[in-house]
Amino acid sequence: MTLTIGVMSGLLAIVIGSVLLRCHISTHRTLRGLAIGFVALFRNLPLLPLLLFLTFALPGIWQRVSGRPLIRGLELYLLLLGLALNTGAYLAEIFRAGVSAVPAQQFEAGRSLGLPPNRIRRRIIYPQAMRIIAPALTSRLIHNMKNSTLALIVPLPVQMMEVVGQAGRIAGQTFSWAEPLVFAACVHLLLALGLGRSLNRWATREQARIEGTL
Amino acid sequence: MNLLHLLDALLFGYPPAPEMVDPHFPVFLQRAGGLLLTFLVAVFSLTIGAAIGLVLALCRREPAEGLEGGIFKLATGRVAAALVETIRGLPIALLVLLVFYLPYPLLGLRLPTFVLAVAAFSLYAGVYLSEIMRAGFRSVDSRFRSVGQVLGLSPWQVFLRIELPLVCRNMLPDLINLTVTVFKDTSTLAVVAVPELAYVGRQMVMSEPASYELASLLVLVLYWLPSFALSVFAFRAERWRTSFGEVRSRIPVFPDVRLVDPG
Repeated sequence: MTLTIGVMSGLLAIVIGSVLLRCHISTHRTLRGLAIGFVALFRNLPLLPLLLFLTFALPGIWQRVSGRPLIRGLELYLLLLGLALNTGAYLAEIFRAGVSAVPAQQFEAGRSLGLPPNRIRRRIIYPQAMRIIAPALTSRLIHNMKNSTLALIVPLPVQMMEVVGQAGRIAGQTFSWAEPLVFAACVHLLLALGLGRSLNRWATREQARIEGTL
Repeated sequence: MNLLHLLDALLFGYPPAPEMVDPHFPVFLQRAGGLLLTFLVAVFSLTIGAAIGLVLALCRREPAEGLEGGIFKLATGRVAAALVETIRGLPIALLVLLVFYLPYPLLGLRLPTFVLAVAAFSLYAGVYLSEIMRAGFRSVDSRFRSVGQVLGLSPWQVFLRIELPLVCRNMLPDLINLTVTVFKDTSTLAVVAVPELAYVGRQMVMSEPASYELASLLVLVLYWLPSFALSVFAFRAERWRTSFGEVRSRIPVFPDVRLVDPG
């Protein structure tokens, strides 16, 4: 479940980050302002109170405003949303840094070939930006995986708990905290190491291609 | 419960029951909770973490050009690296749980909550600080060190008078960002029922159905305001560093100084 939460929220975060990026580099003033505001808001909110707000306070507020209770069993999705909002805001910054690191001449070269701006971004700018940000992106995604631990404050059914939550449940039943916690720590270390290794390999491969293109 | 009561509890914690108050100490200290406790934990652990980080960073530092590190140096470097990688691989909530629940069964120690909280976050801050400091040391050209030695300064003088100022300037934005991260992550302490801001907010949401929308929003605002202010500060620091910092360190003062002239 740790993996599922981590991967799902990571993917959602990439979507949010990309949308924010598109808003950020658009010529539309309102869109740009919205993207900047969004990033400033969610980068400066700690994740745990945000998750508490989404899963504890939001259903009540919804009920008071609309007069109907929120559908049951939505906690998992609210949790994923909270994680993705947080990581998405960070990713938007990383994406933006990547796009602005691509030299402006690349865009001009595309224009002189007569390509439409959207096509230039998709075929020329984004691939190069991707290579530049690959290391930052991987470290953020690993961080997101670690953040999924905070799911333990959300009341989820037993089969949906992630590894630290399970450790806490077992500890509560057996009254010994040491073994389950150390086990959970090992799982997380292996995960971080394994994920880090494979993502890093991808990142170094992308980095190695920079010399060929720029 | 009106707004003032809410704010009072969120900022300074719930007042303790009258029979629990020890008359020998000021009540103010005994009720410390909420945002105040969050700040206290963050400040204490960043200070202790700075010491830990400095030690770890110095252990992992590459020896100067021409100097060979001994076996002791190698061993401490490896140990420090292992410690840093382990703690960096753990989620902060898990680290907090480990620090809170392991000392008693393993060592038979019972420590006050505040000490445990500061210990967990000192480790966390120390490890990340050591990485920042390592990057900071690397960012300073090693020729500055050589030049200091040529001028007859002692290694300590070189470190204090030449390297440290440059390192500090290069690290400043990252340092402020880490402060924001630590401040935000202290909310994880709610997992082990330390009465800091997130926990007090959660208690309120659970126990006072009349005003919990307000309480939950206030918690978010109280976290957001300080960290946003610090983020703006970090942004300024970054701009300041890139605007005039780089120009100064790029001045080609010593194009080719070597300690030992090769020919």
